[in-house]
Amino acid sequence: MLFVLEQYWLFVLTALVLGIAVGWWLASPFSRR
Amino acid sequence: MVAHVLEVWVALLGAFALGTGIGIAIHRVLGRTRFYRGQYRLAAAIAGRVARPRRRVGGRSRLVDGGGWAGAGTVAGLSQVGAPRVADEVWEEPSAEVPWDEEDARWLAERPADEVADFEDHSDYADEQADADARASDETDDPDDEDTPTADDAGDPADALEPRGDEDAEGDDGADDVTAGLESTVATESPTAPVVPRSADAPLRPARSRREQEAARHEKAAEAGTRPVALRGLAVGVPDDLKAIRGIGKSNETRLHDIGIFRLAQIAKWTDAEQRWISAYIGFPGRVEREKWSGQAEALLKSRAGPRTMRDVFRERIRAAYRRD
Repeated sequence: MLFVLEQYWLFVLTALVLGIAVGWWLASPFSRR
Repeated sequence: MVAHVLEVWVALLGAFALGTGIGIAIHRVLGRTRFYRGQYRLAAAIAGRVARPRRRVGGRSRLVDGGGWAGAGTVAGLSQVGAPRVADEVWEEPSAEVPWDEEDARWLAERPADEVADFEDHSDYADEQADADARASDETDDPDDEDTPTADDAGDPADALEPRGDEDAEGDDGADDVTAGLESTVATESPTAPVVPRSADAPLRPARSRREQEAARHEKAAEAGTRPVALRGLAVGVPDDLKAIRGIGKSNETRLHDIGIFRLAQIAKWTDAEQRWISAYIGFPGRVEREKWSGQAEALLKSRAGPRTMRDVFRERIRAAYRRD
């Protein structure tokens, strides 16, 4: 696992940031209905 | 090797899921602080950005078409969706002193380019006509074209032929009325007759430009009543779904947008004189009053879950009536 982070930390970080954006959007009322 | 690749994907998915949780938490936390309104606006702006092109492409956006704003306000902590939103926005009284052209120019400056194409100014029609003539004579090189078609000399074809409601369906052809006129002349001629371009001494009468039509509409409306308050610019990027009102279709909605009516709350506030103005402007005298647009808008705004469609409001009322028993 550490090896993965070592090699692909940028992708993982991108996924994290994207996830935050998507989560924020999902929690916002405009994702409803 | 396979295990390693799987490991990478697991890490990515895990990070995404974790991020989603963090994002939701951020939204929750910000929702309790004084930044909730800014957060709401940001989300709304993004929603608007997404909804508009989707709609333009032809997709239905629930945000726009289904009245998704209704629940939105309550979730965001704004109990009255209509009221605070409208209060936030810039209300401008159209003053009588500003001539239509200036006002129009200011209004157009704020609009996207593809919409502006419909309102292009044709006041310098002579130049355009000269250009068109030059182009036509270049194409054929026929020196003596005396007997040119003058079909449009009798009456104004734009007035007679143009149905009032369907103007919007034309789309983007408003760019050049001159060439449009030429094409129509050519198209109506019999196939055997040679296509002769018109010369400068037999000028084709121009179809009335959109601006002139618009001005005429405004004049007619001004005789009937007073112009309602216009809204320039939206605090929240997407207008209300005015089509939820029975009697407002796509073309009427566009027309209302053109004169700065974007919100149901605006329609709900119209006075009798303003309703008369709108009826005349739309070209159906008495229609707004007959169909009770203001009352409908009010009902839509007051309905329990916020503005959706009139059908939903009626259903709600029926349900409420049964509940009382």
